[in-house]
Amino acid sequence: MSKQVIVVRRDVLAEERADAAAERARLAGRGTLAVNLLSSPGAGKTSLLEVTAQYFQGRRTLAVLVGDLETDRDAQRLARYVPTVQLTTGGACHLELPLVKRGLVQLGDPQVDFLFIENVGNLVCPASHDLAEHLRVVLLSTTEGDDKPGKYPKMFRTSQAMVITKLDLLPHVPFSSESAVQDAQRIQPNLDVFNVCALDGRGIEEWCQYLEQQRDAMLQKRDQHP
Amino acid sequence: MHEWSFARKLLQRAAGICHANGARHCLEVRVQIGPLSGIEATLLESAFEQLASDHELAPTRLVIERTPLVVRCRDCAAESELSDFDFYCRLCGGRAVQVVAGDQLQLVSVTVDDAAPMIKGTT
Repeated sequence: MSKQVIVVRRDVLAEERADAAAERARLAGRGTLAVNLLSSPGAGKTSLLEVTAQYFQGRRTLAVLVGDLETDRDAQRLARYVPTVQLTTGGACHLELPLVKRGLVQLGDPQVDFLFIENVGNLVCPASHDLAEHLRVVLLSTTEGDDKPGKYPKMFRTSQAMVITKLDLLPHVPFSSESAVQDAQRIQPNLDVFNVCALDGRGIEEWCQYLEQQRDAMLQKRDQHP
Repeated sequence: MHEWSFARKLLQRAAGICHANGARHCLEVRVQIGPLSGIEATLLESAFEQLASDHELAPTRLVIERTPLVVRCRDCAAESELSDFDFYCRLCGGRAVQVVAGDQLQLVSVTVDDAAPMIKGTT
């Protein structure tokens, strides 16, 4: 009997990353900016998508894949505004690329300007999984506390933007946007920050214009390096 | 609790490597994690142990090594080991740093017996 050590030294997720990169390029090729929305449960991802869909109505085409452990409640809310497919994970705490690809097929693989992937509400596990997004956005609601970025560093480190939600509740909760932003930018110095309230519309235009800019930048990059 | 999903992926990769090398037994799967891997070592161990007990690779064991979080500065190219999640270059203070270690679950090696020849790292 001979004992041998086979040296691998490879990220366990390397194959998934490569698949995600290929899918990202495919989506870019057809002009779709994929946005992965992440947050804890109840931070307002679906509400943000509802107002985003209303803002873009008649101007841009959108589709949504929405992940939850159970029920299609979020899909029902969003389907009023935009083609939506519910991805039910049956208990799994995050989405992975094969689920997203299946969802795209169910949607009919539409050629849209924006594809939003509303991840399962969880600030931990979804951070590790590349879903072929061009833009990763973490939401932080004012009711969660301004100390969350430091507690969930991987989520904030791997995001390009942070959206602080539920601004209308600021007078009632001990939340400092300044502290939250400071904490998050120690982890991710380049984090773009937005303050919004889906109920009264504050900050929504700025957020949607940012999405437009990100899509333009993606198209420009695609055309420079086809 | 995504450690189950990672444990499953590890077993798949290890089995693939064993098959590719004609090995009959997998003695050890060695991995490396860091502070930004998003992996809890105890949970990964327990998930691996339970999944491996019913797997074709059984009996095999998981060894987890820990690596620090290391960033490389885009301005001065220095590498810094971070003891917390304050991301800046410890040499020049620049904030434009890139993580170069400590954010993955890396499969380091698979120890087998009765493997076919022509593999590197023979002991």
